[in-house]
Amino acid sequence: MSTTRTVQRQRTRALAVLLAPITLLLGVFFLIPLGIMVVYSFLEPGLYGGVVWSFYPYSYGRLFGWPLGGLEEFEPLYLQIILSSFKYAVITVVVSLLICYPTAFWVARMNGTVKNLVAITLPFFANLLVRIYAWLLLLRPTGTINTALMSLGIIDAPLNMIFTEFAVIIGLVYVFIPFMFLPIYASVERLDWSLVQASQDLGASPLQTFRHVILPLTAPGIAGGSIIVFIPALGNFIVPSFLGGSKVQMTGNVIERQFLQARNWPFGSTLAMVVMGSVLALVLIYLLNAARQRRRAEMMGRAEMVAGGDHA
Amino acid sequence: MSKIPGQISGELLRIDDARKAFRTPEGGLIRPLDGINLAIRNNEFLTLLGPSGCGKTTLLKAIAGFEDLDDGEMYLDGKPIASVPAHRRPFNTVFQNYALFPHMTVAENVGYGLSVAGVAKAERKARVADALRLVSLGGLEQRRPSQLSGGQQQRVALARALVNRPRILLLDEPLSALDRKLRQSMQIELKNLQHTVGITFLFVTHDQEEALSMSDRIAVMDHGHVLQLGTPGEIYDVPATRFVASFIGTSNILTGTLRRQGGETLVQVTDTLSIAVAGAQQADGTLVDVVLRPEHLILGGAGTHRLTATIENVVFVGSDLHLHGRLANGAPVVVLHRHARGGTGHADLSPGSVVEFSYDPQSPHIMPAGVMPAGASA
Repeated sequence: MSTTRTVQRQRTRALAVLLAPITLLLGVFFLIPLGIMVVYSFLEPGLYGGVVWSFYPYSYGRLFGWPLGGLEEFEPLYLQIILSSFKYAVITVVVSLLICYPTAFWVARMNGTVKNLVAITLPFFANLLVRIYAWLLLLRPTGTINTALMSLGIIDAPLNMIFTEFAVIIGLVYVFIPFMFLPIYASVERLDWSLVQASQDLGASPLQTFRHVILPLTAPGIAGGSIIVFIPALGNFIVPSFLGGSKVQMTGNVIERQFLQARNWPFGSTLAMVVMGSVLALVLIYLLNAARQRRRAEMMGRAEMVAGGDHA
Repeated sequence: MSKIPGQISGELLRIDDARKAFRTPEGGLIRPLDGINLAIRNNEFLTLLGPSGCGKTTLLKAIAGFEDLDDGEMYLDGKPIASVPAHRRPFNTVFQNYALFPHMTVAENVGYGLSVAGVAKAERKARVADALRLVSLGGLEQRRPSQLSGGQQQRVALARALVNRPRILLLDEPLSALDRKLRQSMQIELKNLQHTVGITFLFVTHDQEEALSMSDRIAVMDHGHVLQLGTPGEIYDVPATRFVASFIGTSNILTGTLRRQGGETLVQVTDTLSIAVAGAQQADGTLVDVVLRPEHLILGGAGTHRLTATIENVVFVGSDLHLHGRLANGAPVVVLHRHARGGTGHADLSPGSVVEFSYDPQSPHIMPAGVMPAGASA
C-alpha cells in the first residue's frame, strides 16, 4: 500500500517537473496578457492610448449594435471584415489542403524523404517579409508575371493582381502551406498500406478504397493541418498589409491599426477577443464532437464486451 | 488427407510459367518466381511451403493481384486473369498482420466486401452475423479491432474474407503471430472450416508441421521453383530431392553407390558402411542419396540390418528422446526413441556411449544424389 503511494507521489512529482516550464511560459506570456486584453476590452479608451479604469461595454457595442453614440457609431464594417477574414482563412485552408494532400502521397512514396522535407521547409530559411515582398514584385502591374505575359503577347494590358483577394490568398497559402504539409505528411506516412491492399482485396474500387480507408485514416492529419493553418491565417496581418493594400483588409490589419494608429486599445482588444472567441468556439465544437463520437464508439464496444464476454 | 478423390472436381486455377524478377538495391537480381507451373484444384487445401525468400509469398500476391507477373499467365476456369486488377479478382486474402481496418467495428470490417459490392443492408447484416458465428465470434459485432485479442483478430480477418464467398481463400502465414497452443488449435479449426465452407484454401507457410497437418496437397518451393507437389504423405515418404527431404521433418541423408549383392540391394556409403534398401530402380554403380527418417531407426531392435553410432547428445522433448550421434564414417545421425516414464529404458545413453539400432530395408527412401536440376517438379 505504502509502496503504491510512494510510486504515485513520485509520478506526481515527475509530472510537475516535466510540466513546469510550459506552464510557466504559457502562464507568464500567454494567460496574463490574455487576461489584460479581456479586462481592457471592457474599459474606456484613454485619449492618447491606454485606458481609463471605468466599465465601458461600448467597444462591443460598436461591433454588435449598442454604441455609445456621438463619434462612436455602430459600424457593421468590422463584422464584415471579420467575416471576410474567415472566408480568406477557409479558402487558404482548402487551397493548401488540395495542394498538400496529393503531394504528401507522392513524397511518402519517394526515397530520401529527409531531402524532400528539407525542400518543403527551405522557404522557412528566408525572412517572411522578404518572401512576401517577393510576391509584391511578382504580382504588381510592372512585375515579373505581367511583364512576361505582355512580352509573350498573351495580354495587352497588365493584369490587376496586386491588392486583390487573389493576391492575399496566394500570399496566405504560400506562407502557411508548410503547416498544412507536415501534419498531413505525418499521417500519410503512417498510413498502413496493407489496409489499402486489404480494401482492394475485398473488391473495393480505387475510389471506394480512398473514401472508406485512405481518407478516414488520414483525417487526423487533415484536421490537424487545417486547424494550425486556419487559426494563424485568420489573424495574419503581414500578408494582407503587403499584398492587399488598403483594398483587402483582414482583422489583423484592423486590430493593428486600432492599437498603433487609432490608439484605441480597448476597441483593438475587443476585436481581438471577438475573433479569438469565435475561433475558440469553432475548435471546441470540433473537439467536443470528436470526443462524443469516440465515447459513443467506446461505449458500444464496452456494452458488447459485457454481452459477448462468454465468447472471449 | 481425409478428402476422397471424388470430391476433387477438376482444376480451378492454373498458373502457367509464372516469372517475376526484382533488382536488389545492390544491383543483384532475384527471381522469386522462376517459371512456376501449378494447378490448384477445386475445394482443396493447398499449401505453398518453403523457407523465407523462396517465392511463396510473391506467388500468393501475384494470385491476389498485388504483384504483376513479368511473364506467364494465370487461368481461372480457363480464363486468363493476369491482367485483371486485384479488386476484380474473386479471391480474398487473410493477411499475415490481419490488416483489419482500425476505424471500423468488427461488423463493418466483415461487411466491408459486401458493402462495396452493393449488397443490401439486411442481407449484409445476416451474412456478417453468419460469418462471425462460423468463426465463433458471434456477439462481438460492435467492438473495434483494438479491443480484440490476437486470436480474435485472426478470426475477424478470416470472417471478413470468407463472407464474400471467394473462389479461393488466400492465407498468408496467418498463424505465425499466434502462440504455439493457439496455433495448433487454429490449424485444426482452419481445416474443419475449409470442409464446412467448401472453399479452396491456398495457404502459405514456412512451417512444415503446419503444412503437414492441414493440407490436402503441399507444393514445396525454393528459389522460385516448385520442387515437389504432392500429398503430405508423399512429400514426407517420397521426397523428390535432397532439399525436400531435409526441409520436411528430420532426415538422415547419406550418399553412396548402389550395389546389388546376393539378392540384396545396398547403398555403399564407405567400404565398411552400407545401407540395405528395397525397390531401387537405378542401375548398379549409380550415385544415390538415401533418406533414413529418425523414427525408422529402432534402438536395440531385433532386425538383422543394423547400424552402430556413438551418442553425442540426448535431447528430451517430452514424448520422445532425440538421440544425436555419429555413424562410423562420421556422418551425423538422429534417432527417435520413445520416452518411457521413469528413465530411458537404456542405461547407457550418455554422450560417448556406442549404441546399435536396426532398420527395415523397406524404410529407406533413395533418390538421385545431390541437388536435382533447378526447376524439376513432381
